[in-house]
Amino acid sequence: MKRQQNTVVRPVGWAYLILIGFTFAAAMLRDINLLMIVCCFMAGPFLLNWQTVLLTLRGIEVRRLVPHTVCAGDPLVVELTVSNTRRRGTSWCFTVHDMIARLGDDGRVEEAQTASVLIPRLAAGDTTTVHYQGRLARRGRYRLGSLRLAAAFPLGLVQRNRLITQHDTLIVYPQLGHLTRRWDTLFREADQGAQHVHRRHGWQQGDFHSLRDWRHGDSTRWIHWRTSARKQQLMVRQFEQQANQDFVVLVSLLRPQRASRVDLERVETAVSLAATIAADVCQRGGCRCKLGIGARRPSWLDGPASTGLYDEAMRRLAMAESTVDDVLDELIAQAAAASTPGAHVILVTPQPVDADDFHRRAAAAGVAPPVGWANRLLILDTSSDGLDEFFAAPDLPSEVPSP
Amino acid sequence: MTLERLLQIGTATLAMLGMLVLGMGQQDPKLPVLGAIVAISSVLLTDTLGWLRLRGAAANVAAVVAVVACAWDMSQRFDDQTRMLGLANVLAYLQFVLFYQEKNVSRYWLIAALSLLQVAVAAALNLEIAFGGLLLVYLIVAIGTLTLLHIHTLYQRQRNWQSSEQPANSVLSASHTPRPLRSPGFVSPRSTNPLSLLRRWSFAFEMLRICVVTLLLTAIVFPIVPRVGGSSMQPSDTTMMAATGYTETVKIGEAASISESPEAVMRVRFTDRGGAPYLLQGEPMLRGTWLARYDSGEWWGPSDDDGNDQTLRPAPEVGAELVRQQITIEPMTSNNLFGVWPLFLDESNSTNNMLRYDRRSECLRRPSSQRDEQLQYSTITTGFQSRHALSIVPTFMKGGRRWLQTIGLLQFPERELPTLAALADDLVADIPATDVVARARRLEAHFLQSNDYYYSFSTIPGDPSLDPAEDFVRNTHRGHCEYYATALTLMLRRVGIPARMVVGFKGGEWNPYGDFYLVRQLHAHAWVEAFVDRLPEDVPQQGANPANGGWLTLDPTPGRTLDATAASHGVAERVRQVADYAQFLWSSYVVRLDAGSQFQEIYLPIKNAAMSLFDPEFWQDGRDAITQFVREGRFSWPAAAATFLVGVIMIAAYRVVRFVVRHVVRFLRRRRGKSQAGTAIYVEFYRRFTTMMKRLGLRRATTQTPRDFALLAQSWLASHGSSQSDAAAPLGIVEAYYRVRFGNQPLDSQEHAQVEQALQRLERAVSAISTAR
Repeated sequence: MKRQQNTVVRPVGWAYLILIGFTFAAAMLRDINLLMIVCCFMAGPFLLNWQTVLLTLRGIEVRRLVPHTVCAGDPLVVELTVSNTRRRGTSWCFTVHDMIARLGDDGRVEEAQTASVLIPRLAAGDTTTVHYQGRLARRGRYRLGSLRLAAAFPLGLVQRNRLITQHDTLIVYPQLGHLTRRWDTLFREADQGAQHVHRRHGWQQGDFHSLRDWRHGDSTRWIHWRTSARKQQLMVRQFEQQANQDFVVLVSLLRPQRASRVDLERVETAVSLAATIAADVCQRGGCRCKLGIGARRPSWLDGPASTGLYDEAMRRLAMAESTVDDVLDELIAQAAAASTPGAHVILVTPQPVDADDFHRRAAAAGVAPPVGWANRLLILDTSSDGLDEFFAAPDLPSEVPSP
Repeated sequence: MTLERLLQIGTATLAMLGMLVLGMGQQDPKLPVLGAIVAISSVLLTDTLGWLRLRGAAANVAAVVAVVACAWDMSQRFDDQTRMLGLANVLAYLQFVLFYQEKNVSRYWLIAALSLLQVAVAAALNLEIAFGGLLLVYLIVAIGTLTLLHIHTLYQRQRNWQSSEQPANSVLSASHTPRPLRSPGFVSPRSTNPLSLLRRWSFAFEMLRICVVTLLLTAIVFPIVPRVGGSSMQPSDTTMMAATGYTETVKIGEAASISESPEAVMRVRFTDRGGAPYLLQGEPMLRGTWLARYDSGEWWGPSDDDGNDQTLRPAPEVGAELVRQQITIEPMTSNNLFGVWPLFLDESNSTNNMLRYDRRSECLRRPSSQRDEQLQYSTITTGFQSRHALSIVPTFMKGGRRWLQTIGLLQFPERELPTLAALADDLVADIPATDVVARARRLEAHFLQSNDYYYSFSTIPGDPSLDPAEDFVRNTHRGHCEYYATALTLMLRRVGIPARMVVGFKGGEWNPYGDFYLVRQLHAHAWVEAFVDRLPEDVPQQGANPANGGWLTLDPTPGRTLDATAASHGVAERVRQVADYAQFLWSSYVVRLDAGSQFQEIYLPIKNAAMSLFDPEFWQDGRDAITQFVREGRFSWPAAAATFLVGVIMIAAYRVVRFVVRHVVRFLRRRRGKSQAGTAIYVEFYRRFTTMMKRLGLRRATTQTPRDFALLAQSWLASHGSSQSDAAAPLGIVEAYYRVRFGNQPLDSQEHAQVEQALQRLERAVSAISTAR
């Protein structure tokens, strides 16, 4: 951590110094001793203010605790642990300022806010934990730091600033909305109908999930010997039963060349919807999820519905930027190639796309989709009023970038 | 009571103090009274109840009216001092306008600044020590008020952060949309009640520290800052003392009553050659001037002739006990200066150069232009021996009896004073004419020992047709010192002894704290000096020609012998003495400190002290003093100074050693710390884990192992809706901690990443639970 510090005279301090100068000049020129005493009485507190602010920030250490992720619009609580490492001397009334900057794709700062916390008193050797909270409206990557300490106690004439270059990165996930009961009903019926069809993965019956204690009836082949030796008790591998149908979620972030605010809001709604779907799928578990993001940098994600997939999906959706290039064909081709029989295909798009168009694109891609692929297609158009049937937008719509 | 209310009260107090000191300087209570009314009413009506608040336009109009009125008033004034008073009034009226406006931070600052300017103006007008005391109170109140203002500003800013719909310090790039963010900025929860800060002892100690250090800095800087002028500016004292006690002309015979004025005239300090206080036995008689001509009850003395002005003679080097008398005299209508005669030049005091000494009349005076200033001067006197005042002092006047006759010291209106003449002849009939001293003593004793005469402030003529002196001796036998001195002077002249009435001051109030006499107007006195043709052999010549003769001091006034050093020891008296001494110090070393006295009192002693550090004798004296102190157990100043110096050196050495050791240790720790950085970082993840648990209210008990705690956390998380993987995170973290902390096995990068992931999962779970709460 680099530290930079400086001491500045505040505007009232300059006015105060001018008064001192005026008084001193009058005292010297007119030989008025009592005026000299007044001047000394004024100068003393100024010098002591200077000395106090130097001492106040000396030995102050700040550590920041930031949640690794948070969703846009959700409360963000950042904890600061402030310690006075001096053996003597109380620090009075200093402020910790934290900079929260949103980074663009190229790493440049696009927007910044400052959060400030006042520490009224911190005795020598004490540690206090304070926090500030707020909401970050936009998804994306944020950088927290640097921390700036400022003290001007007791008179506010002089201010000492100390910069602690400590950066933390925060990924703000897209805002999650609510999938309606219609959605639940739709996909539960679908899953119930398909439950008798499940993939057979051999004797392992599914993917490795985690380790658990051995129970009576477990196969000895499932024992994880290394962990068992370490824990001094039998531990077995636990496998996940893939009972549900896979999901293929395609999200297009296409926008017009001269996008209006409404266009951008639709794009954001599409991101939010895709994120909500991904969260729902990962929470259900028991299937594979494939996510294709038609952003400025298209990306494809494939994996079992799990926490890990959820994290990765949210991260990619958080960083995804809208694009004027139509990459839907590419996504459809990829989806068709990777899709499994019976998989649900969901297209989230900010612009109207009908099913025929979708299938035509799929056909044009030259990839043969699985049988019945078309029957499980669901197109969610965020520009359509019919979206409400499946998705309730979040209460605090996220901030959109400028057109 | 809120912080802001306290701030309003403090600001009002500050303003009232400023106007009080200004009123003291103006010697007019109107402004302080008006200021108090405005300040108190504004706290009630404007700040508390909000009934009276001047808005923008009304406030501006009021301010303009006040400025214009004061500007017109100042234009009618023609001297700097009264113009300054007018300016101070402007400041006060502007303050009044500010008081009746709704307060914000900038207005508080303006009120404080205006108050400070008032104090600056008052500093040019006040001289009394009471101003110094008020200045100290002002300092304390100002520091407290400005501190409250700063704290108030911080909390106000915090409230703005909490209530703002927009981020307080939002820095937005040009690409941001013009509409405001829909989400509020980042806020911190409300801090502790600010008043709880003020109730702490450490806060009071901090304020006290600022005040004390400011006073110490002032005590060091004020005397040292060079003065460029010759004498410090003093406000012209338009109330110079009218000499209700001391007068240069005496008139007796009128029906009158003397009121004894307690006004201080001067402070007299007697010191010996070494500078130690010279304590007298009896009262000092400080001669001002002498009166020679008499006519029908009226006396007058030699004229103030500048043509005779010379410098005082240098003090004799042998044959006399030299005593320095340092006198600080207040402004007086008279030019005469006082002292115990005979006077000689004190070469150590450069201010004596301005004194005018008339060698012809042996009178000491100051320039007329300096009558309205306090003056400090010192002279050497040989008028004491073994702490007793000499009754006969030599004269340096030449011309002898003939000269004295010329100037009227033998003048005796025989026709108007028959009874007095007969009485004088009768009293000295049996004493030879050559024994001047015996004759004079006989005549003096007549008034002192007779039961017929008594002292009285009130005088009523017995027979207005008679000469007052004749009437006094024949009829009334009552009067004050002037009557007695008149009678004795004339009686001495009747018997052929040249005599003169001397007017001055006798005695004073002894101040044991400052070792000086405080002489007031009520100590004004008249006595007699009789000329003796030849000095008796037992009288020191003091450099004079014995043939010139001398003056015998006679005081015929009965019932006025007071031992000034045996002052009352009551508490009130002691307090008064302390206050008077403080006023003396204030006047001498603060108000009237100029370049000359600064050099004399400060630079020179510092220089001498610094030079003595290089003098081996100084160190030898210190060692001897310490040895003596150890042997005899007696306190001595040199020993104390040496001990103090040694103590300071030891403390300084200790601080230096401690500083060096601390820095060396810190340097070594840093070097060692870099090699242990890896270990510190790995344990850091456990600290993060416990911090997260604290947010949920889970703390590891001392009887719990970290693994037990992790299991507890796991079950807690699971019971509060966390997923299985999230709930399992604590255990994995603790396992890793065990390996690092107790197994001394650092984590590799993959394991470190796993721990980090576990922490992230845990963080999500904790955030979710916290939000749900």
